[in-house]
Amino acid sequence: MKNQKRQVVSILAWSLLFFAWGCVDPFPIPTDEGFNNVLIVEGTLTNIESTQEISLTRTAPLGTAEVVGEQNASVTVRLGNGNSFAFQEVAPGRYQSVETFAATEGNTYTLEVISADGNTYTSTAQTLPPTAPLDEVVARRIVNDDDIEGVEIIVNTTDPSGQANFFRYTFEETYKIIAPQWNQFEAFIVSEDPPQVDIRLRSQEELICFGTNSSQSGTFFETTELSSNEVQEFPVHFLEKDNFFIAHRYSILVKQEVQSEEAFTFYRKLRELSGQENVFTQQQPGFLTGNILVNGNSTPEVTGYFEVVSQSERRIFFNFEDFFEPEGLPAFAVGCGEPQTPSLPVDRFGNSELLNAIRNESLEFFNDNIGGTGPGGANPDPNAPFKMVPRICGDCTVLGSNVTPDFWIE
Amino acid sequence: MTKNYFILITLICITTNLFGQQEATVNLQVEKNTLADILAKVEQQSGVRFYYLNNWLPKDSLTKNYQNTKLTEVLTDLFKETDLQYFKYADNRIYLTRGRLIHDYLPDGFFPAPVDTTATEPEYYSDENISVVINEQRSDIRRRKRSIQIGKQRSGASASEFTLNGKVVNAQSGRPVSGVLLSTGSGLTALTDAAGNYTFTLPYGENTLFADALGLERLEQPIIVYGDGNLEIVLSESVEQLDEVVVEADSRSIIEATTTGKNTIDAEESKTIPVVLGERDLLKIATTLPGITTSGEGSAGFNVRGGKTDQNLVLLDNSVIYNPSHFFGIFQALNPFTVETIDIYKGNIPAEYGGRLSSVFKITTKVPDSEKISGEASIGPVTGNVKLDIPIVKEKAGLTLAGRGTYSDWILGTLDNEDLQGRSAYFFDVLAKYHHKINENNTIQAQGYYSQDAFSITQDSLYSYDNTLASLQWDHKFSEKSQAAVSLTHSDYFFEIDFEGRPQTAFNYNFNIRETEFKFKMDYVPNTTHSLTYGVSSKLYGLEPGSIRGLGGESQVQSRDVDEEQGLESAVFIADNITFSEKFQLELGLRYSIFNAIGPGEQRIYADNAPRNETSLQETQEIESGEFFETYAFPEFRVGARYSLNRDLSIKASYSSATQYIHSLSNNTTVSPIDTWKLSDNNIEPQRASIFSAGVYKFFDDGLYEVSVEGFYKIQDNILDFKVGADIILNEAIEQETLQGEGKSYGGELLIRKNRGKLTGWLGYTYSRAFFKLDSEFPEELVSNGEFFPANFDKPHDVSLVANYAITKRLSFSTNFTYQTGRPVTFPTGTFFFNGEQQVLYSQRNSFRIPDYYRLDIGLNLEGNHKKNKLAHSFWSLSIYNVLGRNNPYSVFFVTENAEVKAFQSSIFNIPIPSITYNIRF
Repeated sequence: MKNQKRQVVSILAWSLLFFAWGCVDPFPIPTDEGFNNVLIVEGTLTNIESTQEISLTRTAPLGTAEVVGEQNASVTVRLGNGNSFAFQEVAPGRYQSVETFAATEGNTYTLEVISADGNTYTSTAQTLPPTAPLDEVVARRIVNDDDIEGVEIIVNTTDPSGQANFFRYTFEETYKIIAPQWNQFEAFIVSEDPPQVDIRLRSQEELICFGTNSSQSGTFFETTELSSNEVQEFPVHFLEKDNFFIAHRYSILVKQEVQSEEAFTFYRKLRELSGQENVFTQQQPGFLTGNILVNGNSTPEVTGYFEVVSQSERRIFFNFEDFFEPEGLPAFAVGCGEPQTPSLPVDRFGNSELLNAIRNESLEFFNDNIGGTGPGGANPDPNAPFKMVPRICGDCTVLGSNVTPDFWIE
Repeated sequence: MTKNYFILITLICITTNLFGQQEATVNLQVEKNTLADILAKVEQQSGVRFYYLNNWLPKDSLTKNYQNTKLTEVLTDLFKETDLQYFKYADNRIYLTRGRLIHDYLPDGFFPAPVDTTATEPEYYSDENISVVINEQRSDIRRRKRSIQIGKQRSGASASEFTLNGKVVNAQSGRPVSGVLLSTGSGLTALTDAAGNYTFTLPYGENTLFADALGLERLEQPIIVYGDGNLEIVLSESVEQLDEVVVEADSRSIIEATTTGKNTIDAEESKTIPVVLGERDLLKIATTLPGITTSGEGSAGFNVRGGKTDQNLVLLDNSVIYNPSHFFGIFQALNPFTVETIDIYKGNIPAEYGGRLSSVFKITTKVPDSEKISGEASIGPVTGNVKLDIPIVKEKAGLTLAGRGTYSDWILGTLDNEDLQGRSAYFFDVLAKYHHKINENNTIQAQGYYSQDAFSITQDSLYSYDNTLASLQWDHKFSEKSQAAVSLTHSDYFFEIDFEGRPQTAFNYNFNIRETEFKFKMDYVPNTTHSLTYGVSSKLYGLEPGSIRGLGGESQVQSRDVDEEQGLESAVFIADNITFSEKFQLELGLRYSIFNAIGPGEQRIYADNAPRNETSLQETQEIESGEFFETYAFPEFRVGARYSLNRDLSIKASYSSATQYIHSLSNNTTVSPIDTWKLSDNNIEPQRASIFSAGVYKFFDDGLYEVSVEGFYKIQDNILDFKVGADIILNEAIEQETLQGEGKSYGGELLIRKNRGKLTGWLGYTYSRAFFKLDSEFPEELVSNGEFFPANFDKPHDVSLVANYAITKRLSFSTNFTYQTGRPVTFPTGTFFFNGEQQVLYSQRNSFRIPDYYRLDIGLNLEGNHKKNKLAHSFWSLSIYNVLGRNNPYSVFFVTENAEVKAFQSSIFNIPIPSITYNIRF
């Protein structure tokens, strides 16, 4: 081990050892005895009329990354006024409300889960936190702490009530994709034997598409430590200048959820406990108890959080040229090089490169292969009539949807 | 001749004149003869006859040449290398005795006043003219002690028992020594009180008086009692421990004292215990005693009987030392040459001490030598130590200057290792002590201490801390029965981190705590039954809980300061040590402590029936400067009793309660260098503890072996702990992250010591458990479901062996073995997805254990020769730390890398560490 060797050298030299960079050895975590099979409850009701969702999963042993859904549970949200909303399982571990509803002020909400093995888990009663409108979402050009140039998305919010202190931000970004080696024509197979191909007009939009990406996790902000209840210039997202998302036109929908302090703290601590150890932050590790109880008691069999949030959102658009010189346009998602010229005639095994590429949609038509060795010079090479490009370079539907979103404004 | 001389010789009193005028001469030339042969030849030649036992004589071969040499000179020469004394009786009989000189005279000026032989009443020597001072109790002259006559010999004495009064003082410090056991060969005993005074009833005639005290050389003094008298006994410190007795031989304090759970470590005696990197570490030796543990190398704190690391009061003389260690606890911050003793109270803490729940480590430094310039120095692989004593006023005032430092920074510079470039690591500590005995009744001493550490934790950070202590003490003796001590002490602990990662994130973070204490203490001994200690103390705290500043012009780190805190901790205390009889002693102590939280500051008020957080925060009140915004007061009881079943067997029991108003904020298991402190306020209540302990103490073979068994049960209240995921650094509202709960701990401790002989040392075993409970009606404040969970330092089994084997008088071999159950930790046990990210599931608090800790050290100690008049005495110690190369984990931690949780253990010394140290005393 390198560390140890270094020590030995030091000691032999001077009988000297410095411990601050002493010996650190990895050791196996006793996964077999340590693994707890714990039910994880994650549920967020919003004040927006929608299909609400609850997720039930099980913990997995360390070193694995699979999501184990808790199936066949009975999930109900009960209101303080006696009403209740039933949930149904739409995918393993994912439960959606049968009908749409919105959390409203003045009600209490309690989650009740009866698992397939008959245990009843209930959350503590939750109320809708105060609402705070999301005032402003701003995109601006910056050079970040890592000296990388790009666009930062920030939010500004003022809470007139002064009651909303804990915010979670998530976003959904949509970006225009333009296939760089698109042609209005597409290749198709006329005849397999003898191999014969031709081109026709594309039947669908494959030049301009729209990609969508959601934030994997929320970013959190609390205003309690500031003198005023304001969120000022809080960064929720950063896009590097050479990210192809912003090559053309870009839109981001930022969702602001006002959380209760307890929920906020749970999320924050969970992230901190799972994060990287740092010499200067001391975290007390341990089992983080959420607000889910078994028959009114907390147990190590369940954790997680069921919360009610008040949500507001705001969308903005921008073009690359709004911030940068057009020459610096980001490259496409992949490198699209010189087109290929697959041969049409079958080889001795009976395969035609071009036919295969068209059949399995691996290559897209880019242009006629003119200037080949064939007679006439201006006609396509009969042995390799088409210049072909990778499909991703010629067909935008590989990366996005060719349907323009309703909200899209050019 | 009118004078009669009384001589003790195997219970025969004789009156005669010895060594007449016509002394025989000897002509003798022998080569390689044994002493027995030589004596036979002398018998033939001079006609004398020797009386002795053969096995007294050494078997060495001697070569001697005497030409017309007087017989006395021949005998002196022959016996000079032995412990034999000779006594000539009549003309031709010579009695040899071992270790006991038979006197035929008394010292000149022994009788200071003319003796009135006509007195008919038993006579006393009055205070003015009696004090017989037995001085110069050096080991090498102990054997030739002269008898001392007490009272005046009269014919027809009217009583058969007489009373000897007096005082025992320390030769070096001149201070009275309490708890000295006086005994006679016939089994009578007496003990000095707190003022060092004793009263001893002795039978008429000759007695041999023994005086034993911890850390002092044993005195053996023949006395002849004719009447009542007064005798001042001066005991020397054991400066030349030829036999390398690790534990003071014949110390009876463990049997005799009223206190349970007290240990004493003598600096001098500890010098043969194997050390790490050549540094003698008295605090580390403390952890080999039952009931005291650390988390292993590199952790500065102690856990005493299930107490947290912040519950120990470490006093250097009178000042609190907040971080008594260097380099994360690998070295102690005490220059071993300056330390006299460390007294550790882990059960019944004396009433004069308070403010910490679990223990008091009372480190006493040596009194400067006021007679001659002397010193000690050592050179080890990492550090150099030096101590110098300089007399200022002959026999009255002296100054000690001591310094210690490491040359590691220089070593680092010479190492050609890229990883070490730009790293820094050094420490030093200095101590100055001035001691002035103005007169018999007044002594003042002043002391200053400063220690500093600085080292790089990472390549771009520099962490440093320092302790600054100052103290002033005046001791005044009103009378033999009452004396006072007034002291003023100040302690300052500061640490900072300079972090220079990127210019934008460079910062300086620092913390500071200061305390100033005034203490007045009286010792009053009205009679032989009562011994009272009482007084008052008051301590002002000032605390800067943390501030962070951007470093350099480019830094974007926001400056922040957590509000300063102030508090006043005061106490009145009284304790009475009541001696009902020789057998039964009772110590009653009461301490009443008061704490005031003082402004300026903010007082945050939270709603009841809600977890403390921003939502339940109802109001923040501004406190004006100097305003007392919260006051706590508690009585604390310190009660102990001792009953002696016989001379060698006693049982003791005690109850002790304590209150602590200051808390360390540390959620790591070990004392981490960035632990900060917090004073109690309206939200954080004082910690309280009660400990019951009882024990049996037994001497075997006249103190050759000592066995003690103690048990304890401790309950704690308002123990400060933290919520899961608590964030401590720079937290204004720390009470939102803390929890206060119950603690309970219990255990049994066994200590077996061998005090004399070639093999000395001790074996300690402790079985103990420590639990905390953090219960709440709110899920976010629950830890381990509100049930008792093992504390971070719950280590059920703890075995320590410390042994020293004297191969010769100069060469000894020592070993030290430690075994501890691995401490509890919280492990990650699984993963799950939440908030779209992979998260780590941790076990309940402390439900796993790291591997057991064990370590074996060995050492070899070689002293220079013992010639008395050598300019300097030298001492080599060679030791190998962790001989077995055990990779003892110091801490375990987990890192999430690429969505995978990895576990790491860090260890500090996972290979054997040899070191050699050279010590010199001049």
